[in-house]
Amino acid sequence: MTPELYKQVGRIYHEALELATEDRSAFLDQACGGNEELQREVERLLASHEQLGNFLAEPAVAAAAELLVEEKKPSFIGRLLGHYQILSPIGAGGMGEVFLAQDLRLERRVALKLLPPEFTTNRDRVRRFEQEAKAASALNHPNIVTIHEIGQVKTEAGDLHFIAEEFIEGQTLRHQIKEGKLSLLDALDIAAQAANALQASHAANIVHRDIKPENIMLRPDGFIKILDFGLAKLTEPRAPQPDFDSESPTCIYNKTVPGAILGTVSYMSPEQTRGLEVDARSDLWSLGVVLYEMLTGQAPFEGKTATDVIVSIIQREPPPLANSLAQTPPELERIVGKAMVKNREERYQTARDLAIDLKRLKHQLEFEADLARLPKPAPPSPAAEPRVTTESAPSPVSLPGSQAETARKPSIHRPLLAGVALLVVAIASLAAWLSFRPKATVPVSPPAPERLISFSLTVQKMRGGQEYQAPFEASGQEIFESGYKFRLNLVSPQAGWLYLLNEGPTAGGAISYVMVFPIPSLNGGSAQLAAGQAIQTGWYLFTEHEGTEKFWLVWAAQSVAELEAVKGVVNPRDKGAISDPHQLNAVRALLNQHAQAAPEAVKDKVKEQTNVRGRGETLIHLVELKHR
Amino acid sequence: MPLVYDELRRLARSLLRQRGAQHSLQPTALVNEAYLRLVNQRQINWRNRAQFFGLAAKLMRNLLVDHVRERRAAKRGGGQYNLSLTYADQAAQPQKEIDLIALDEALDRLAALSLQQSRIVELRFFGGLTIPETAAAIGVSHATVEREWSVARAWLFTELSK
Repeated sequence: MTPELYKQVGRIYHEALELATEDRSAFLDQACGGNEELQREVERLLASHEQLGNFLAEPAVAAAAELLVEEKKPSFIGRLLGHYQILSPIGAGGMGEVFLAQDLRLERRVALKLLPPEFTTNRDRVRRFEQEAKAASALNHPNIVTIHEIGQVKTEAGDLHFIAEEFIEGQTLRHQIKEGKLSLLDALDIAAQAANALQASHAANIVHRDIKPENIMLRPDGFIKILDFGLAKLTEPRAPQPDFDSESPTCIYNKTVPGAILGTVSYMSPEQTRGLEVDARSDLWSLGVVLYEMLTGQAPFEGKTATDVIVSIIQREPPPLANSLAQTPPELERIVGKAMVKNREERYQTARDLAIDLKRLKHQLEFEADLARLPKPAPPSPAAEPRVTTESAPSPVSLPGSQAETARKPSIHRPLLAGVALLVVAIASLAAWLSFRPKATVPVSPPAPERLISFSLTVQKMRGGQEYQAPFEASGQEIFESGYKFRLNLVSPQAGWLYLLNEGPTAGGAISYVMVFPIPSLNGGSAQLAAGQAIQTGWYLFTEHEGTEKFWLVWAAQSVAELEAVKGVVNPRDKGAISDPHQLNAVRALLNQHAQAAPEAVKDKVKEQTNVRGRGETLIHLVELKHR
Repeated sequence: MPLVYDELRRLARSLLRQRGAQHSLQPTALVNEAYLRLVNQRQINWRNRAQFFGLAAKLMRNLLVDHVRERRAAKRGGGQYNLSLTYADQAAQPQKEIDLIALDEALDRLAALSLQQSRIVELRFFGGLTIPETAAAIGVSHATVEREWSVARAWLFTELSK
């Protein structure tokens, strides 16, 4: 196009805008006088006019404002430290920043922790820290993070100490507590695993000294990993005081990181806050505090300042669990109490004892849950109704239900006959923690029906923004190229309700979900599918960067209220993500059930698809599509 | 340059603060204020206001586009998790973010067709000037700025949608 022609385009475009839409066509024919290029260009502009919206309406600096403040300081991203290429930030804490990095020598991903220089000036401390950290790692315990290397590199800002350790995919316990996702059984399991790790480290004379939710990672497979063994050696106040009654506030350290103090003090044992020498039992106290917080969502000792928290730790008893947890099992109250006895001589003496108590309670509760899942008996006649008192030994009343049924399941019913009292307690405590954990839609009566759904991908290669070659089919288990387009195909031999959510961060960085199916343009906006009805989503792009696209697939026999509620909701600012906190929590709680009954996903090599099957009314599966 | 960059960031922060406080945005005033401070700091004698705004808008354009380019390069080298999807399909497509780099290139092409329109876009979009301010800066009528601005917007939109 020439500047002259463009000038004409602009003039005619402007004149056409003054006219009613229906008059424009005749006007263009006349105004363009048969010049096809001219007419085409004007029509192109007119077509875009309706979609302009607020395009360019806000100055660039306002549009770029988020982008500019996001970046706080010169970043390490992309830099090479030693043989580690820093990829992306993972987190930051009192002990410096943590990055995901690529070990270029061994070609593996590591978590790279950069220690702030103020903690590494004392060589002696650094040496002791290295000794302990390496010793803990050398235990090779499944619940202790593996350290690959501790070293230092020269940077323009001076020598920088770093720790390269196993990269753990997952979330910190802090994150899980905030999300409010932990059930009573989860909490017991996490605490028991942590106690196992401590048992191993204590046996090697290594005290962690800084057990807190930030230092416990939860992997998706249920394993936990304790981080930062030995790191407390860098921040320790000083050698133990000869004066054992010293009340001097030696614990107020870490002055360089305001806000970090409180977080750290909350989990300290009374002896630790007083600057006394700590031993293994101090870690057990801290674990008790963590368990308390997992159960109630609140730290047991709180205060506005670090000093207030310390006073509380030394002087006050934490509020009973029962205050925030309806019908707490008495045994749980006892365990938490025993871990947090102020006099360490009366506390749990070994991590092993604590681990045993935790596991025992967990097994008991699981057993009771199994009992409660048994088919409900027919309502008994008043005469047959067993009268039960909790204190006297139960008479061998026969339970409602036929003898034949009892005979079929002797292993479950025999303990029942032996103790009806237990059953009463069981039902009471079951009711207690059923109300504690998110409502499960998992069916109660076995055998649960099997549900099955298959998915595959249609992938379109892209080159320079253009489609390239013909699309191909994939099972979803492959690693894809960033920039390619794809759509999901789903089909099930059963009828049911299908929901697909994309998980990702919003502009603010919080994780949220975008409804991918149902949407108005597909299946009339309904989630309900007939048996064998195939569904194909629209096209999506693998973003330019390396990563994983996460889709939650929910395949249910009935409509799912939590998802029906968010079906029509879109939030234009965050690409349609669910923004209402209540809805978001409901969806999270629902998806979290996935952890309790994950279906199996098997690749069908012949059909290039993935079959997802599981038992229950609702099948929840996380589809992860990796691309690079 | 670092000085200018810091100033830009300070500006961005105050814009975000405003947005957070639910006030209506007044970016133009803020942009002007930022420039004036820059000018004072640098003790530069500007021959006239128009020249100042023209240069300032150009500066802003370069800074922002370079900035986005750098960030994009940094991201390309890095791994990212939990990436949200980019919609490829028109039906579900929510409001698109402006790709500043593509816009910058399109603006260069626009300059070849109409220098005046590209200057108006630079002043309005990158410089944050209002229509009367833009008119004063390049010495044309309000109506002309409005008309040219509307054509330029439509043309750039079609270019970026290609």
